[in-house]
Amino acid sequence: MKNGRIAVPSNGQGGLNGTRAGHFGHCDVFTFVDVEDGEIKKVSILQNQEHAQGGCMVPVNLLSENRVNALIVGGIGMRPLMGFRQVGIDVYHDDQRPEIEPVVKDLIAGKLAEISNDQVCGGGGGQV
Amino acid sequence: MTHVLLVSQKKNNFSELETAFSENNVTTEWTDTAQNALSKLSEENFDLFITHEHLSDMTGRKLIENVLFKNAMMNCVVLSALDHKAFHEAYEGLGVLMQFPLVPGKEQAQNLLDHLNHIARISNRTSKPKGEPI
Repeated sequence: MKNGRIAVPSNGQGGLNGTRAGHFGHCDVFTFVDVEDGEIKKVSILQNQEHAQGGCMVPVNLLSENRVNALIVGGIGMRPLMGFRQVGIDVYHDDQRPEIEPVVKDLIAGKLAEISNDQVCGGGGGQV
Repeated sequence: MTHVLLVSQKKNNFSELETAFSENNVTTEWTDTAQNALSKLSEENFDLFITHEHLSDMTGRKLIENVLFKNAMMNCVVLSALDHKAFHEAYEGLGVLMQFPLVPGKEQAQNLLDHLNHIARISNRTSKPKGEPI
């Protein structure tokens, strides 16, 4: 990624030295990393909104309004994933490293994969 | 005005719900199959759809997946006999607003309207990032 804004759902106060929240919808804050010419130029924090059952589009709209281009998650449901794709936010996946900085640097370096449809949370297990 | 699509093989299941909706400025249309629902949702403007968990041509879950692949902003509710835990596992990640009993009534209508208003209030809160030195 050469230019753009990366968002990472984060625990506590967030920040580049913080840790990624396991469930993006329930995170405390979003850490924003602005990238210019492949370099980190600015880090900022956005308070997450209250989470409501079925309110998956609240964070989608929140990040879209704040001009986010890419999101890094450890897990995400199918509906918010589709929502992010439909508003033009690319969703990347890393559920192994909770530290924000190395994962962000991997994304900038083109070493992080986009999440695939079969990596989403849930799935029903064929019950319905 | 809220416009809702009702999807179930039995229209009568929605009688009490429709009465409660009509008293709250909510209009409804009914259809019996998932394919008809997909057509209506692509041709008309609905705010949400309420589907039975079992339809004649696909499951309610499959219908929801098909809808969100086209329009993830579309809200949905499911009529289901599953217990709370089984419902959560079956529909996790699909962003279902709430589970209704197989024959929903006035209480469910009011709960849904309250919940939609709650989400609207959250959505309307503006939020901007606070700058932080690297």
